Order: sequence, then C-alpha cells, then structure tokens
Amino acid sequence: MADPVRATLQRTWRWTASIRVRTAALATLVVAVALVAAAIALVVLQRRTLTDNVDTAVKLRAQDITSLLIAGTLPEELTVLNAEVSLVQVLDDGGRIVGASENILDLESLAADLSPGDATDIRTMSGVPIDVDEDFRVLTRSVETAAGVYTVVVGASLDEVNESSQSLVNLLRWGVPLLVVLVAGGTFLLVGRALSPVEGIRREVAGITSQQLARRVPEPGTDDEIGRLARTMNEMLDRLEIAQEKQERFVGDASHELRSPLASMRTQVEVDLEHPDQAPWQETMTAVQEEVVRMQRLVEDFLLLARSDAQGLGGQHELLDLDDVVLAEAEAQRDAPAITIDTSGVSAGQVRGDARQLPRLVRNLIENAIRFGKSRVVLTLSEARGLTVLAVDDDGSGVPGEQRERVFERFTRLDSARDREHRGAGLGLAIARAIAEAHGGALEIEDSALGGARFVLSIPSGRS
Amino acid sequence: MGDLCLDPASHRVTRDGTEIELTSREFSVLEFLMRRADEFVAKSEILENVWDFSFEGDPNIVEVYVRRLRKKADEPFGRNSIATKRGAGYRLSSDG
Repeated sequence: MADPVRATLQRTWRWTASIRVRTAALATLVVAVALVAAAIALVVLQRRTLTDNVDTAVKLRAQDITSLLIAGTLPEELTVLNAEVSLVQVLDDGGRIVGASENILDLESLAADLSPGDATDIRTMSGVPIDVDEDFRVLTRSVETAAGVYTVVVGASLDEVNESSQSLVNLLRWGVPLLVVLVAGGTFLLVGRALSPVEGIRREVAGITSQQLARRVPEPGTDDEIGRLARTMNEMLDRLEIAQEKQERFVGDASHELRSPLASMRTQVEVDLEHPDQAPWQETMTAVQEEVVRMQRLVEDFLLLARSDAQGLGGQHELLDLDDVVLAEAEAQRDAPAITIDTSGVSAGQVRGDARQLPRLVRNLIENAIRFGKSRVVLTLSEARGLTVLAVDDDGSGVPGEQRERVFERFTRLDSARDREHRGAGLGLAIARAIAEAHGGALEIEDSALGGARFVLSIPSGRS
Repeated sequence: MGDLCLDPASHRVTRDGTEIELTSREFSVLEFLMRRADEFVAKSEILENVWDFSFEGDPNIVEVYVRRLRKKADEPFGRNSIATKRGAGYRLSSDG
C-alpha cells in the first residue's frame, strides 16, 4: 500500500476514533431517525384527519339528499357548496338521472361502475369528470322511497387534502435535514469544547517525567467530570512528588549515615598501612569490627523501613504475651549504668503479632528512654477495652509539643549536640512506629509524670 | 488429667480432643498447676516457678493468666476446673 494512502487511512481512523466525532455521529443518527419517524407519522395523521373531514361532509350531504328523496321534494338541480370539488347525483332504479349538481348536469351516470353500498361505504375514486386528475371520495347509497328505489351518489375531491399534505411534506423535506445538520454541528462543537481541556491534560501529563514532578496539569476550574479529573490528577502528582522527595531524602540520609563509619574505618586502616610495623592491629581490628556491627544494624534498619514502605511489614502474626516481651527486653537492658528500669507496673497483655518485630519495637522504646532519661525509666503494661497499652516513661527533658511528630520521622535527632554522643541514627522511633502500625496499633508521645517523655503504644488485644 | 491433656514435648494442650491455643507463658502456668494438681498453690509460688525469682512485674499478672486459662480451657467446655481460694491461691482439680 502506498504511503500517502496509508497516511490518509490512518488519519481517517484517528478521526473516527475521536470521541468528538463518534458522539456527534451518534447524536445525529438518533435525532435523524427520530425526526424522520415523527415526520412520517405527522404526514399520515394529517392526511387521515383531513380525509375524515371530507368524509363527514360527504356523509352529511348524502343524509340531506336522502331526506329530500324520502320527502319527495328533490329538485332537479342540486346545490353543492363548491362546484369545483363536490358533486351529487341521484339515479332511479332504471339508471336514469333524476337529479344532479350543476357541475355534472350534462353527464352520464356516475354510478355505472359503482354498486350501492351501506351508509359508511366511502371509496376513493379517480377519473371523476369534473377533475380527472384528482382523487375523489365517493359515497354510493340506495334509498327506498314510496316512489321506488333511488341511488344517491355524493362525492368530494381530495384536492385540498392533497395540497395541505404536499405543503407539509415540502416543509418537512427541508426542515428535517436542516435540523439534523444543526444537531450534528452543535454536538460536534459542544463536545469539542467540553473535551478540549482533556487534550491539554494529556499533553501536560505526557511531558511530565520523573525529573519534573513539580509540573501540574491545567485545571479548567469547573466542577464537572473533567475539572475533577484534572484535580484528581494533580493530587496524584502531589503524592508522587512527596513520595519521590521522601525517597530521595531517605537515600541521601542513609548514604550519609553509612559514610561516617566507612570514613572512620578507612582512616584507621590507612594510618596503620602507612606504618605497618608500629600499627596497633589488634586495636584497629576491634574498632573496625565495632563500625561494621554498627553499619550492619543500620543496613538492617534501612531494609526494614524500605520494606514497610513497599508492602507493609507483614510478618507472622501469632498470639504473644507482650508482658513477656517487655520483661525480657527490660531485663536485657538492666546493665545500663545509672538508669533503673521499673517494671512493677507491667501486668499481662496479649496481642497478635510478629515474634521478631514486637521485641524490636519494645527494645527501641526502652533504648530511647534510657538514652534520654536521667535516672529512671518506668514501664507499665495493661489491657483494657480490647487494647493492650504499653507506656514507657522517662525522667529526661521531654519532647516539646511541636516536635512530637518529628521524632517519629526518619533520621530525626532533636537536640543535636547531645545526640552525637548518643550515636543514634534517628531510626529507632520511626521503626517502632512502623511496627506498631503494621500491627494495627498506634505509637504516640505524651508528657510523663516523671518530667520527661511518655511513649504510649496501643495495640488491639489478641483474641485466641 | 481428666479430658484435659498437656503435652510438654509438643507444647500442645487439648481438652476432649479439641486443641486449645495457649501462649508459652499460659502453657507454663497450666503446666505448673497440673503438676501440683488438687492442691492450692499460692500466687507467689506460681510467680517464682513460672516466671523466676527475680520477677519484677506486677504480681497481679498471675490473676490475669489464670483468668485467661479459665476462659480458654474451662468456659468453652462448660467446666470449672480451676478453683480460687482467698489467701490460699489456685487449685486445678485432677478430674479436669
């Protein structure tokens, strides 16, 4: 197939594939079918009504003549209202004309080929002498009188009916196509105008790449479907942009966290390599091992957070005694110097959860409290109204209200001077909250009666 | 013991053939009560044996565990095998 032909075909296809063309075509088709049907019905109805009128007039006239015949006062020349369209003829039983309207006085019997019918028998007849081109409605009726049997013939032309009908048909012949064209054009224009923002949106979205997530599609400013589409699309772009920023920040922060242990290891190893004979190898190895352990923990934390972002933490949920978890984790931290951990408020609390994640959550909370407490950390656990609630109080300096949400963000370290010595990456609480949420629970921060911070974990109690 | 059956090896408890889901601590409490069946065992004794001597939690924790055991092992089966006596502790009757 030649290229120009193919191009034309493709253009035609795209043209018919557009919603605009399809909508206009469908609307036009529906309107055209409806209009043509209505026009036909109109013409048929009008014709029937007008014909009925003519028939009524014919019947009335026949009635009159019958009365005259029976009374025996029939004049030889019968009057008709309009000589061009009506006629009357009366024949005796011998077929002789005894009376007629003036327009057919000199004519032969009309009834030669008509047999008398009953009172309602009206037929359409052509070739009537007064107007051979026109159809007539003709009534033939036999009348019995004292003087014998007569045949009455009354006719009326359908000329007026045909004329009215014709003028209506003429009107419709031009009117219907005009209306159809108007509907086609109107629909095409309106649909085009309604859809034009869609093309704008499409063009903008096509241009948005991951590097330009700040771009937004044009909003038409209306509250119709397209306005809502544009708004929804922009909201989606907002979310994408935020998610991307978060991810970039996470990658940046994570790299930053890994850089310092790497740099420190490199320095120590390089210094030792410069002076291999006097290098404190043993010491270096110990230091490097410490850094490696720290890095390993960091990477595990990163993985956990990345997994919780991607598909939630999942994990095996089994029935667990949170009191066991809390007491065990508290026991493990008891060797921390200068901080007493008070667990006398730990009662029973059962939850459904992951046997590896929940201890981690509790450990992170206790470590955080030890890090910021001065001398005491108090743990309380209880179960009430379907919730298992763990509170971790410390007597540190607390977290001011406006920073409470920030402590759950990743890599957040409030009071940076103190933190350097604490050496946390600022992930513990973010991880704790991610685990809490993966268990359908919540982790919030409050003021502690001890003066410091109180972390409150609530998880739906487990039912067996 | 009656129709209450505890298998220390597989850590499974059944009553009348129906398996009862217990946490490991609940299991330990029931195991201890069974070992001392038909005698009253004081709360402190349970704490010392099931938890350990250095238990530092809320001693009322025992009540909660016994309540849970009743809910899991007695109530669904229309039994009342664990008796409470003020000041004396708890007793699991050997006929289940």
